Amino acid sequence: MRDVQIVGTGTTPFGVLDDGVKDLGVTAISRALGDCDVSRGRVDALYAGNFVAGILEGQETIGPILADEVGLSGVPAMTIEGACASSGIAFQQASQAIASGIHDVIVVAGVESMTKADTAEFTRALGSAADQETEGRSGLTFPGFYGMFLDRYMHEYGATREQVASVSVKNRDNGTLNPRARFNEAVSIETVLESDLVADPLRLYDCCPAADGAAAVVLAASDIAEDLADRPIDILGSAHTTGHNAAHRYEDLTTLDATVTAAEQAYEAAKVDPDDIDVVELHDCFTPAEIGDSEDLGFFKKGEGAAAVEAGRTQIDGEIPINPSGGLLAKGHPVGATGVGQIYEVCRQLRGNHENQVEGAEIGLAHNIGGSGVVCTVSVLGRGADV
Amino acid sequence: MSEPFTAYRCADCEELYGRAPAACRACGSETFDAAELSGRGRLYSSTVVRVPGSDHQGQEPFVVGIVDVGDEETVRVTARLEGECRYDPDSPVAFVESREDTFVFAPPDDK
Repeated sequence: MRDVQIVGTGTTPFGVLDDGVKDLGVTAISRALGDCDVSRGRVDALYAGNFVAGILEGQETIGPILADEVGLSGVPAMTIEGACASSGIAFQQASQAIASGIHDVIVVAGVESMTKADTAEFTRALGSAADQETEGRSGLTFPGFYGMFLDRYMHEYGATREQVASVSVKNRDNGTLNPRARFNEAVSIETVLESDLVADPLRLYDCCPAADGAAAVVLAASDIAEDLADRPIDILGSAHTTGHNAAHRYEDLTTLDATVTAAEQAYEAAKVDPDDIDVVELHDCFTPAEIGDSEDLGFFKKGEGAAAVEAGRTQIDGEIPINPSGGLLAKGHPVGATGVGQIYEVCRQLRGNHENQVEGAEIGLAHNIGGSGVVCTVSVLGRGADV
Repeated sequence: MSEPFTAYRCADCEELYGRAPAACRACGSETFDAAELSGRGRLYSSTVVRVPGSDHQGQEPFVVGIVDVGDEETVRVTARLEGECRYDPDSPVAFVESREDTFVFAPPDDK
């Protein structure tokens, strides 16, 4: 297997944008190709992650359509759908295709447009990631899934609502300095705890906002990457796993098995331990998700994640900085774009030019999960050497 | 008291399901027998859905939970719970009926 590197990155802001999925995707891909010395002719394939454009915009076949629109007509191109992990999967698949020698250079994009739909409409669209025969018919939503997660988590571990709300306070605070974030205003614990109930005990400010946006990266085999970029980022390990397809399938709803196994595989491939990670972008679609993820990824023992956030251990200057970008809670969650959006933020950290720079960050981790924890990717990235 | 709950048991490996699947995930068998369980259950976790998807608009607020139904032998299912109240984890609940293909439970006292 060959080593694979990220040679170019590009993104749109995440937020309320006028463009639809095609124009968002074109913007991110063009910026990523412009960030490196890769001509259109050197690109072997295009993988695009998207989740709900078919439902909300009536737009499918996004990968091939984007390929022609960005001047790559002729290359194999496809759309990859895995709910909120769609572009994390696209990234992992591309990395694997280059590592195994099938291709040398692949453009990976994630793209989504959501805010033109009203809340009920996009809630139904996102609900399509649940098993319709069980959870779909019951009316369970994804805020509801994480409401049940939090209900059980507080019962088992005695975590307080204040501790859990501190995730939102931290991430919204981080988002104040990120120009790509949908929300740039800080919030207080009181604001979170007094906001409207969405799916008890979850409240509005426990939930990430919908957003429009796209992000893209250009991957290349390491033996040619040095000709394509001054400062390529190493993909040290990347794993894609699946888990349970409904809440009732879990024996322990507070542990998402797909995250645990993806993390184990990614750490093993990267030959690192959780202690070696300097900066993390993880899937904080809801405040309890960040707490569970931080445990499932091995940063804290089960049941200790909520107290860790409250104690500041996951702040930018803490022992394990989590979501310095503001995460999904501040950046917004353009579902199919989120996975590559996280990779983009980690690359900025490893290049040393993030607005919320973690001092001396050399190894970063991106975690992207979809549906009821039914599909997950974890990627470990390294700063790489100056070329 | 509660209504009995009909679960499905794989005819080959005895794996128990709340709904009959197309094939058993443990052994691949496509044959299942009805298995009557006590409708008494214990709530694992629940939420009150206040912002539903467009296909459940107008029903909110409603309670969805995960229930372990049965006595000695239990099966875990996703269900609706009657009322608009908050239920505590580990509360006892009782099976009421299957309504529009969704299992419905309520506090045992209501039965």
